[in-house]
Amino acid sequence: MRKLFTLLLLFICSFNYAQTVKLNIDANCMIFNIFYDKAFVTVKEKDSIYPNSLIQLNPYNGMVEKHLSLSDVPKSIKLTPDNKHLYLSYQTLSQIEKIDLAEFKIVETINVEGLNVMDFAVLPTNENTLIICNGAKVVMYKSGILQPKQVSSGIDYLSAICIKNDGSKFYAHNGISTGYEGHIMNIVDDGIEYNGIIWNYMIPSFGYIKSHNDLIYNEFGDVIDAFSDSIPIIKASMPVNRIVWWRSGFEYSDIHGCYVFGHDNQYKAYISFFDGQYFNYLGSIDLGIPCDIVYDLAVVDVNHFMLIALGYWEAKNSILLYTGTKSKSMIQLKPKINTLRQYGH
Amino acid sequence: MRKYILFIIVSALFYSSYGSNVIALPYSTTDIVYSKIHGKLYALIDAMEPEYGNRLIEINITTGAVERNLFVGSQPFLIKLSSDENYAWISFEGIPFVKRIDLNTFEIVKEIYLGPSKQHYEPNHRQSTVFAYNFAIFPNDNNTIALGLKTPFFFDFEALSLYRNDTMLPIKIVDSNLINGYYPFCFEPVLNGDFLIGHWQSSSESVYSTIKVHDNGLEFLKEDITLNQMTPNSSNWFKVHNDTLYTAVGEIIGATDTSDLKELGIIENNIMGFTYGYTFSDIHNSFVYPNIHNNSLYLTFYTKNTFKAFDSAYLFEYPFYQYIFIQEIEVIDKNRFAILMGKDGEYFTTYIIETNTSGIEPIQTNNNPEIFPNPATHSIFINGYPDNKKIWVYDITGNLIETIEHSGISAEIDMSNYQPGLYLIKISDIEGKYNSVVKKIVLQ
Repeated sequence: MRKLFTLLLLFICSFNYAQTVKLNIDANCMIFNIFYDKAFVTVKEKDSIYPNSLIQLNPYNGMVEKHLSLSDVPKSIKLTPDNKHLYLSYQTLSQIEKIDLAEFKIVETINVEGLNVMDFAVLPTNENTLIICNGAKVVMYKSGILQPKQVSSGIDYLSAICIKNDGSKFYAHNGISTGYEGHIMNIVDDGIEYNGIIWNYMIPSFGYIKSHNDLIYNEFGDVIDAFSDSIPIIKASMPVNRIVWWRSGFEYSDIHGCYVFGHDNQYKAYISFFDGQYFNYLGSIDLGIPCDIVYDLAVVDVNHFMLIALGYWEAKNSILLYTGTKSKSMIQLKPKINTLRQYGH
Repeated sequence: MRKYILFIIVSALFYSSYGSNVIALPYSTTDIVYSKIHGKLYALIDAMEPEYGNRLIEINITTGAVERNLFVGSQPFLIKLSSDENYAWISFEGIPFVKRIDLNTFEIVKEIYLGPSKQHYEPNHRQSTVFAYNFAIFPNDNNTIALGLKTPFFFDFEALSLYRNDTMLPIKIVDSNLINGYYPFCFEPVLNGDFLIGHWQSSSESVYSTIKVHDNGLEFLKEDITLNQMTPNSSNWFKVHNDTLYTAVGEIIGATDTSDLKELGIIENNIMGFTYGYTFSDIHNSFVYPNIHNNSLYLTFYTKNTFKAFDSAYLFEYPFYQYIFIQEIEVIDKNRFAILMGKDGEYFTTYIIETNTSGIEPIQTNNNPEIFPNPATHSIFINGYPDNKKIWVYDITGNLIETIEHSGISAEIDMSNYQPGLYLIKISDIEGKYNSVVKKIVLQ
């Protein structure tokens, strides 16, 4: 009997346990907070249970632990450097909320005076300072007060900003027009100064960018060194577009030492890994879920991932929770053909 | 470990159907080059490859083992050796750089940044990042390269520039300098590097251009469209040996002392055409092209004077329904070749094949009907031998679509009801006296 039990135990241990749980929550964007070990997710207006709200989610079992009703459709959320607060912007409402994550309530409302907030960022060196961009203007709010120095000419359709870790300047990206421009702006005491850099790097992007160790990366795997020289340099380009059919959710994972992309490929959802040092493709995890688009991804720990995805032929987004060991579950996706080589040969 | 086992299995499987000895390397590769001086094969590994992706690897040609590897940058694309073979230059699809590798120390010794920089940036003008879509190395000069520059994503050619002694020279050729806008995709130096010959190819036109190399940059001299009717459907690429240009479809063109181009001849044979690699072998003193004969793939050797086939080396079976790309052929020694190839447009991997170049009959040259246009839009025409033809049309998966019998030297196949894509056209004589010929047609 003991032998049988040991064999059974060995069998269970060797079994590659992996699963995807689908939560029918019409989510918009999410963030994993390592300080609280919770995920915070904004929910869109058409969700049947939590419309126009912020929810606190257990990333391991998918339980909605708290929810906070909001005034309008939420858009972006950004954590403060100490992870104890979260700022939230709206799709159309010209205000930004500061939310205390322990008490899970709004502690401050910043009226941004008619700005349709495209993106915003919290200053890494001061949690009460925000840089906000809309289509044609970039401004700074310090403790809720608009600063006099603003940039409002020479820029079009800025859709995303990333601030340098020392808080001295930021990179702003135009991902809407056909120019795909990058801009560098300086942060000063009383606002923002344009430092004269327009960088037309001609790489299509929807304008979603993130930063890791002052390297900017986007949803297609371009890695940009925006701050170490006078103008940005494309440092690397991961071949994400050879396996992603539409846009992706993406995040650099310190735990894995990888850039991680949640994406669709032939109408199925995958998580793919690209080496953090060499930028090459390592492999993908098949989530086993039909999928049209992945909008966001968060890495929880070495074996847990979260995605916001639009299911195949579905009208609303869902949250996917994946549990599994990366190394045991990886497959190699067939890439699209290398275009330049085909042209030449 | 898993890859190593796969490597042994693949090599063993191919042993029976390939030439006498085969080493199949398992790494997805974008380009290869063999250095006679170092006795090593160098391969750029595709960014999609988990092992050695984005790296240059040095391969032992006897064992296939990777002896050294070096991270070079994102999505390496082309590798070319300096004439002394001490350095390799590498271009990239993913980043605006060209880099030089010291093959002795196996480290990057120069990085040329092609994007806007302090040097090139003008604050009041929107400057685009550019990639090198192609480059050329000058003979006996490790500090000069010609660069073909383009913006990423869009296939707009920006400029042909000369980079010498750490400086991008001021005079460059941009699109508007060319009379008819035939911008060279491929360009190679001739006449000791005093001139560049460029080549531009569309589906119907083939134009060579001559560019003078000055101390301070490049000057466009002329285009030569008299050569463009020699063989349609050449590729953009050509190669140069001793001031003689040779192309994927067997055009042989000489550059005269005054840099004029002169048609020297054409390799008239059943060579594989524009999607296939080819080379000139100093060891065999001949042009080397892949060649299909009796459902087998050979390397065929052509004399450099008369362009006639004089020997062939069997490589492997080639079923007509497969679509195999041979990207590059590198001659290692008299009987060993490194071949970069992929099937049906998938991963390209490298095979080191040891084969026998003697005792095999040169391939017959009379069974080469012409099929045009390619790519086609509505119909194709088959012109030439045999008089009484039987024609089979297959799709890319090998399904027979249509069978046609035709009398007369010329035949037309109406393809207006076909879906766009790749088709295989098999042609034989009705009496079955001759070997069949298979051609690939792209229907747009």
